[in-house]
Amino acid sequence: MFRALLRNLLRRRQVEHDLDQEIRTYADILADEKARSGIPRTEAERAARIELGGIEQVKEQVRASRTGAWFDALAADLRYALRTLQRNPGFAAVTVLTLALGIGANTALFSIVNALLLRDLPYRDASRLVYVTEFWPHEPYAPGPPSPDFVNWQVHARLLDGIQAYGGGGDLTLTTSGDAVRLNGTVVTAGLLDMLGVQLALGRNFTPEEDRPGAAPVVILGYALWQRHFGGSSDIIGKQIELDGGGRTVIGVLPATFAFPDNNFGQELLLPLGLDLNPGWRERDLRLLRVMARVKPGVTVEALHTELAELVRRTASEEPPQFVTMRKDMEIRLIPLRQWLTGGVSRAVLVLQAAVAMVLLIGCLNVANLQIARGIARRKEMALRTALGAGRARITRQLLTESLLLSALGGVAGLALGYGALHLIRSFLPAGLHLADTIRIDPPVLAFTLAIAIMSGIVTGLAPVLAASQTRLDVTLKEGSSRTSEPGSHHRLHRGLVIAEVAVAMVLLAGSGLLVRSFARMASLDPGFDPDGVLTLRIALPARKYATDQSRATFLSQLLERAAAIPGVQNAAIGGGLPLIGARIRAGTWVDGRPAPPPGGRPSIPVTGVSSNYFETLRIPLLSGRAFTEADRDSSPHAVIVNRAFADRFFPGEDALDRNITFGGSKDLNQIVGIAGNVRQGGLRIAAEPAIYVSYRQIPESEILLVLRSRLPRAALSAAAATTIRSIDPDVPVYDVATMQDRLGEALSIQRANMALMGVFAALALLLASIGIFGVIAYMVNRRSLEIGIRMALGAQRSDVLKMVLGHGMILALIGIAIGLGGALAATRALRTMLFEVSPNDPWTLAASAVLFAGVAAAACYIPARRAVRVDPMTTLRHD
Amino acid sequence: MAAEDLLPGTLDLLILQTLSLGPQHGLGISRRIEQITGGTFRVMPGSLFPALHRMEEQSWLAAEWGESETNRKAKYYRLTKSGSKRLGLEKVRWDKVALAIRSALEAR
Repeated sequence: MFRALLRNLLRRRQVEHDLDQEIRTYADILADEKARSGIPRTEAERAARIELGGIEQVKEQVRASRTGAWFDALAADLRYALRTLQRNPGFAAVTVLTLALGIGANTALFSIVNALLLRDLPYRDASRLVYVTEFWPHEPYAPGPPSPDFVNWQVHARLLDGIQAYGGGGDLTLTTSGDAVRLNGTVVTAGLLDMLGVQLALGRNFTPEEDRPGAAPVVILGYALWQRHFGGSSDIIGKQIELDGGGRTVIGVLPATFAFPDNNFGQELLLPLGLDLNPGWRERDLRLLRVMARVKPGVTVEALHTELAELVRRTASEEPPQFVTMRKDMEIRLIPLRQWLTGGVSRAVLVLQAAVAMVLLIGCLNVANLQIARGIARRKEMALRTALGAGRARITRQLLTESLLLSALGGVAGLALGYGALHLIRSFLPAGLHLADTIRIDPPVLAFTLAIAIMSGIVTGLAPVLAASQTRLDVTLKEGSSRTSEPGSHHRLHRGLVIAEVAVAMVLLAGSGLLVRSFARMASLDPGFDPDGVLTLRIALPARKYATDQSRATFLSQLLERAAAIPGVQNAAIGGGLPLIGARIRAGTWVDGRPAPPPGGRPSIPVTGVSSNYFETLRIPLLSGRAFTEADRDSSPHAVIVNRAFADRFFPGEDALDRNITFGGSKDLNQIVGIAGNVRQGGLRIAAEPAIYVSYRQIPESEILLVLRSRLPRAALSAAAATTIRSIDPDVPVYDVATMQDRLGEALSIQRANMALMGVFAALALLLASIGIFGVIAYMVNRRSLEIGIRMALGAQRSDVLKMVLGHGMILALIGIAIGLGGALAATRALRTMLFEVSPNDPWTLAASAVLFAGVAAAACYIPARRAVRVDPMTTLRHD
Repeated sequence: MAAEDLLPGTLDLLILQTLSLGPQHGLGISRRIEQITGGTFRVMPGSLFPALHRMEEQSWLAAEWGESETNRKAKYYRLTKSGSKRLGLEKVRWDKVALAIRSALEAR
């Protein structure tokens, strides 16, 4: 069969020739027979032809019975469709472009949905991996499970195929040949890589013995680091490298494809976590961990949650009281790995996918409308073909072939557009999203593109089919003029499609309006400091060299002094944290003299060590009291500054100034000497929370930010700062150099990306819907030019005609806008998490979008309406 | 009776049976069917050739060019192995149908 199909398709000429020969021979032999019986030769040939019933007809019957006969019909339909489109290049171009925009946007978005939400994660059997965390419901900050809980689960949980922990290894300094580099490390339990199914590129994994305190120091290198710093040499296994001033033996190298399943942790170096499991560990080793588990097949996340919570309850009696109080009220939360990895953007990506689906829908409705208009113009052609014997199925097939050809062209162009848009859209995704690297156009995406192209072809082809099926032969063929009224059903379909288009576009416009307003809200937000002209650099003091508070404080005061002396620097300050970045330390805090809460019941407040001119440099206003002074060095009680949110929370209605507070484990009193303005500490989206500032001398941190206010160009300033730091100690690495404007822009970037993408799609929808309105009105004006001519001949004023035409269009637009507003009220709820300080039903935004849409619709109606009033009644009436 | 009046599948049976007697060209097949059915069936080219081409595509028949009795270049069809098998099946089927129809007609 298949060979027959191939032969029929590929060797058409030979097949046709053979067929012709065969039938002719039949006729000849028949004639021979007749001639033998005595009839003259010419008579015999004629009789044979008649008996045969026409050579061409027989051949046609054979062709129709052949395998692949449909292919011939398809080829004929395609040829016919191509000819039809060539005669209407404008229609073809508009249609292909419309579909290409819709299909392209969908292809690009779907490739993101595919990479983030559909494709397998790069870990073995990732659907069974869950992220396990514990948190206090009243704390925005999720500390993660404490190590005793982790060990408890690792030993006792039965619904698991493994539970492993990791944590920030902090930034480590790698010294190779006198050059200090700052690297991002992560500490992991020995079984983590196995649980994830990671095969090392080189060497071996950690052994359980290496994952204990006091074990010989070992390290696994990230692939990029191995390539960059060790030339990708396999000799590296077994070698010692200098990390934070101590030697560590390299035992393995991660594969190039490895991405740590936690965006917050680096993968340049992996070190053993080294948890102490000896008897009595509960008292000695309390760490907050990140935990990931693999559930047994068939076990639900809920069942595992119940088991883990039960284990925590059961062991409570064996635990030391201070631990029990600390973890009191802590809740366990299990998040499937994929949800956790994409949690931040999956909603936005799905919303955008829905938006582009709407754009494609509008595009299809538009094309369907064009097709109907053409269908009406082609009524005669269709009627004639029906009269000549073409069945309804044959005509349907032909019309569908035409629209599928258009959508195929649109699909190819759309694929190219989508490929181009991919880079653009990818650049909008948040930087930490490592799955973003896997976004590409692969076979599933191609299949999706093909599917939506075919669907668009069917949707746009169905409308003219419906219109054609309503054609009444007798009426159509008798019709003289093409400019009189037509069956009402066409009108209804036509108008219905335009209303639907407008409604869908209205939903998109309202959605993008909300995002624009959110962005405007966020961008105009007072972050609480002045980001202009401030450069920040992060430095880290190597732990071994700067082991004591004294040595760190000395370095830092030296740094402050020399940085302030850089020519062109107006202010130099240091801080353990920064606005938008947050503090590194949190401490349980209480007001002195108030009845003490149970241990662990004290609110945990971020504490930032800062230099005296920190507030001046960042221009954070001091609302009352004073800044730190040199005299605060060893004062007792220690001087602290709190922010307004702190004062409001701990001293509502009272004056916080001069009150004493305690925080951390220490019983030392801290006197509030100043109250600073609130800054957005944890990021722009998070309202200011209470904060404590102390003098950096009280808590000299090893990782600190240098803050410089200067008018110098950024490059010159950062070079000068780096030189200054190196002049104090060349072993101190400088990294994460960014202006405060950069950091602000980064904080705004997701909001900006959501707004920009949604805005582009909404603009596209608005444009397409306007073209739809324009098309319908222009078509109406054209069809009714005779009527308009008669009206004007009878004395109608131009303004009357203008009003009539505009009115027709605006009624459609307004009905669509009203339906769309109703839809928007329901649909924008999906946007809630993407909005910032704007309600999903914000009346101002909805009203503004509706007014904008109405204005654009009026413009779209006005152009054809103008043409209507230019109608010269005499010309029109004489036309027929 | 024209071939169009045949029961579905009967034309195939007649062609296969005819060719089981030896290779033949189109007109020859048509003539032989006329002969062996005592002139009851006359197969017209409009049904004959589509059937021949269809059965050739299904590999029941094979065809090659040869010389006719009147020295014309004609396409000769012959039965293939799967064609003979098919003929056997068709015969059994036909017997069944014929028996069923006869008993239906004789039923009172």
